[in-house]
Amino acid sequence: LEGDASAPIEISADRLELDDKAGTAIYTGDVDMQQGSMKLTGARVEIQRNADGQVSRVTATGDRAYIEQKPSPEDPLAKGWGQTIVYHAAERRVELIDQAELHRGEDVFNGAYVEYQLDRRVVEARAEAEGTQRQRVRMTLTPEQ
Amino acid sequence: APPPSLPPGQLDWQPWGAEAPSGALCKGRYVMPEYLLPPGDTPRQVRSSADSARYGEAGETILSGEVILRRDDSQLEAPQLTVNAARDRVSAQGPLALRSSGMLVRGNAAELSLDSDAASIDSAHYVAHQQRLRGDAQQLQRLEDGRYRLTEASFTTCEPGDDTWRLISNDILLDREQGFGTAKHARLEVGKVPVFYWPWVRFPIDDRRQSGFLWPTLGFSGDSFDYAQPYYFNLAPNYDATLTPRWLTEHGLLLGGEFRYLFGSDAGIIEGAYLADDKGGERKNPNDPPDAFDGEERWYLDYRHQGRFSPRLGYQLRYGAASDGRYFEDFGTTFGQQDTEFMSRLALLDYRGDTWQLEARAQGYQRLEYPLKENDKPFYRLPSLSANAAWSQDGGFYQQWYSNATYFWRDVNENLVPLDEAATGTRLHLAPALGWRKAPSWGFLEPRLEMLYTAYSLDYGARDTDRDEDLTRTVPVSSIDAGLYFERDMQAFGADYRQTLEPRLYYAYVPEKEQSEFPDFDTEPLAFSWNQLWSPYRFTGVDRVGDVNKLSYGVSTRFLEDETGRERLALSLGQSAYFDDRTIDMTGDPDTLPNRDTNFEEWYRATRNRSPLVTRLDWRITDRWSTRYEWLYDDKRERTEQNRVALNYRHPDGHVLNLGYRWELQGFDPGGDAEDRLGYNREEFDTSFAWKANNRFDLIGRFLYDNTNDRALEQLAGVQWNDCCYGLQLVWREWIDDNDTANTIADDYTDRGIFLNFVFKGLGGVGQSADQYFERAIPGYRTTALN
Amino acid sequence: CGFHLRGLGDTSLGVERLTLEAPNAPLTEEVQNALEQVGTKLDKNAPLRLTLGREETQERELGIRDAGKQDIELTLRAPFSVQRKKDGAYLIHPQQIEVFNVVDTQDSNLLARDDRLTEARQELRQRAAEQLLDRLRPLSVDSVR
Repeated sequence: LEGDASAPIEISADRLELDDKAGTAIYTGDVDMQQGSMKLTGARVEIQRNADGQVSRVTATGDRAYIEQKPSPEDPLAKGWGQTIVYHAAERRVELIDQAELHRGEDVFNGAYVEYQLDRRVVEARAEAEGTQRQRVRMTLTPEQ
Repeated sequence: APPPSLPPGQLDWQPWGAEAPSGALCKGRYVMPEYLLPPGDTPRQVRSSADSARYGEAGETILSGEVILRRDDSQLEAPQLTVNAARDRVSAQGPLALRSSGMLVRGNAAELSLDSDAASIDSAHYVAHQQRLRGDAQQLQRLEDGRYRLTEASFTTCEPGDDTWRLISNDILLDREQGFGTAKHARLEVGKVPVFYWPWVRFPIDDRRQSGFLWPTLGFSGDSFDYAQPYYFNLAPNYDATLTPRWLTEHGLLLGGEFRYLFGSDAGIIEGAYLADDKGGERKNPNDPPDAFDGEERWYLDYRHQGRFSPRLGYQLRYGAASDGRYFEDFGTTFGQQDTEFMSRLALLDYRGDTWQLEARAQGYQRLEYPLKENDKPFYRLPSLSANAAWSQDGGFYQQWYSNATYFWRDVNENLVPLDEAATGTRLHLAPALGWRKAPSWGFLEPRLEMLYTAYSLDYGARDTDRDEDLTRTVPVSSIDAGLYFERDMQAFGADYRQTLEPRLYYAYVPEKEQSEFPDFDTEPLAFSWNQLWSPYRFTGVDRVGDVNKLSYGVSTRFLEDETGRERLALSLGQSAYFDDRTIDMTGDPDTLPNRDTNFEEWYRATRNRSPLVTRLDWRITDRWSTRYEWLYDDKRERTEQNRVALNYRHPDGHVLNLGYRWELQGFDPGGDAEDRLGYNREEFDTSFAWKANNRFDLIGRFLYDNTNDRALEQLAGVQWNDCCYGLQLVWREWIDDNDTANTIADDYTDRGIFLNFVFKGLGGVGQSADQYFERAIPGYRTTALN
Repeated sequence: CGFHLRGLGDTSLGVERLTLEAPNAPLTEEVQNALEQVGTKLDKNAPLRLTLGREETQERELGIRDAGKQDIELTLRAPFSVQRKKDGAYLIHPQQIEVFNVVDTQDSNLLARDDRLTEARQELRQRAAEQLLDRLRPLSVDSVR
């Protein structure tokens, strides 16, 4: 939702490592992070904050990390999976990398790389992503009734 | 014009290569490859695969990079495509391929609807795998209801790369559900040469009933050209019609039609044709006046109907008529039709009881002769009522009853015909019979007595004659038939056979009765034959009952296969010894014999004391060779009276060879009027063959030679070429028409015709099918179906 | 020379009783007469069933038409088979009887021509019935049980 970026963050994980100088916090082990309507799970979650302490980027990895958010009150939940998920809080942009899968409304995207904007119906899926072998984009559309 | 065709590889065409099935006419076939994606969970769900997919600014979905889209049973492959925001349309860039419901379409731009099957593809190349159709079009549209509309398109059933023929049109509509297509401004190209043009034409695209649809019929004889264009109306599952306008350079526009129907156990067909103003045309028969039919109406009509009221009660209706005796010679479309000599008219009601069989019929004919002489006009039976019955008792006694009452009539000037054909009137004929037949396994014995009672009440109309108008005649016919069956098992032709030996004796006595003033309604003297040995009758019909006092003796031997009882060989010999002269001939006067000096053959036939010796052989030599032989030999004058020999060869693959020889002594057949009696000994060689080189090529031929007059009576040569997408039948026939006079060959003339039948496979035949005539002209020949 | 009178007592067919299943047609009548004459009884519950189909006649012109005179080869065919009712086994598999005759017809009297062909067809039916009996003769008695 709109106010997710400034909502309080609750995280549960096995371990936490803080690196104040770099401004990053790395949670590992069955991490489950909640911020407003956004929910993120993964084996390892790294949170970076900007100068004034706001979360700027969250990077989750796992045997398929998972992210779900409500792009807007009327839109259904957008659910995404990927070996690596990068959430750019300020731009409200999410990148799903390697075995990426996105469920947006009735549509389903699979491929090597899927990128989507939360507040605009923009989705981009590609079969190439560095560090992964080629995975053809498979998409399922369901025409409105 | 349509875009150029694609190479076979891009049209799902798979050559047979080594494992071509036997009899395959085409070098390969279309194979629809497997789908590349599974279908959606619901018919409306769309699955896709691509190198990239994204939502566009306006909410559309853009897929690019070897995109594959699957919806229900349609699959689209394209380098790039866009699904609109409303998700009800897909537009794709070429080179694309759309596969759906057994059809492949390639093109370079396409719009597809996702709600229905509608689609439109630009510069399309299409293939319908099952119907083996292909073609190209500037634009191909699949309409909501599943039909295909093609603009600036071509259409053919030839293999990719083979353009033997194709149909080009600026607007083709294919209705695969109904099984036919229509085309506007259509042009038929054979090997790139335009051959026909139609403003509008309708053609079948599968072998359903529409296969009866005929493309234009082409005929040319002499310098006249004949072109018929049938239109087919598939009105309902149980009735349909064909309208055939036909244009003949010699005669003008003939409008033909045919209507067929089937209701329950009743079925019928009515056909006909009409030409308002005949331009006359060149008379084929030199004996006709040159302007015989100029400006006249020419038409024919033939109605046939058959039905049953109940399993026991059936009826038939038939009415045939033609404007003149030369109609079929001028307008007959097949060789068979050109030989039509008469058209029959019949209304028949037939009841079959257990004992009684009743029949009521009105019957007549129109004889197609030009000019039709008065005495050649046939009699009508208006009506003929028959009641027949048979009873039998266990002891072997049986009784038979045959009764018939008929009113004979014909519209003729009584003064221009022979006296015994001048009357019309009623005839009552009763024929009760008593008999006793005992047929144990080793033989049979059958004494039989029949009383023929016939009564006439005649009307000679304007003809003044002192002949009696009320006549009766009662003639007893007595006969005894006896025979024995001997058998033995034996080995022959390399198998076990039962050979029978069947001696037979038959005595018949019919006294001579005065019949000289009797009319001649339906009676003809019978030419002598094997059957006449064992029959007391020398005439068909009832107006004359021939006197006879004869003993016939004969023997048959037959070889029957042990397990099946099938007859392999049957040889019979028989002869009659006459104890009195036969005084009754068509003149019916018992006191006179034919004049020996002026009419020797008739005299000899009436007075000879032994009939010809009849020999018959029917022998299946091998399962391919068989022969039939019939020989009537006059052992007193020591010469052959009639001889028929046939040697036939049938090969399982369809090759056929028939060798025939016929000899008949002049005067042997007493039937017909003077002009119908042979003026010479008839000796004919009749050879015909059919050779099926392979499933592509049939060669047929016939040669009928009149050895007495050293002339070819009929020559026929035909070739039938059967290829993957077309068939061709080309036949040349030359025959002699005897102008209905046998006693002289001076007025005979030669007629000839060329016959072309070009069948575009999948488009129905072009031209009348000549098969029926060939199968009659060449015994044993079964044409290969041209589809 | 080995010939002996054919005979198995009264009936010349190995079969005493037969059920005849055939349409109501002239050929059926001829076959019934022929069977009764050789002593075979026709009754509803005989062990064997003779099925006889409808006759089909074909006229073929031999040679050429000479002044209305035409030799016509008349061929009559009819399908038949014999089954054992008990198990429906075919003792005689469906096959055809075929008889032919050459009839010389004359157009000068078309009514006579019609009678001539009608008589010839009737005569062919009698010969067809005889041929059928020849085909039934090999049915030995024990095949009936």
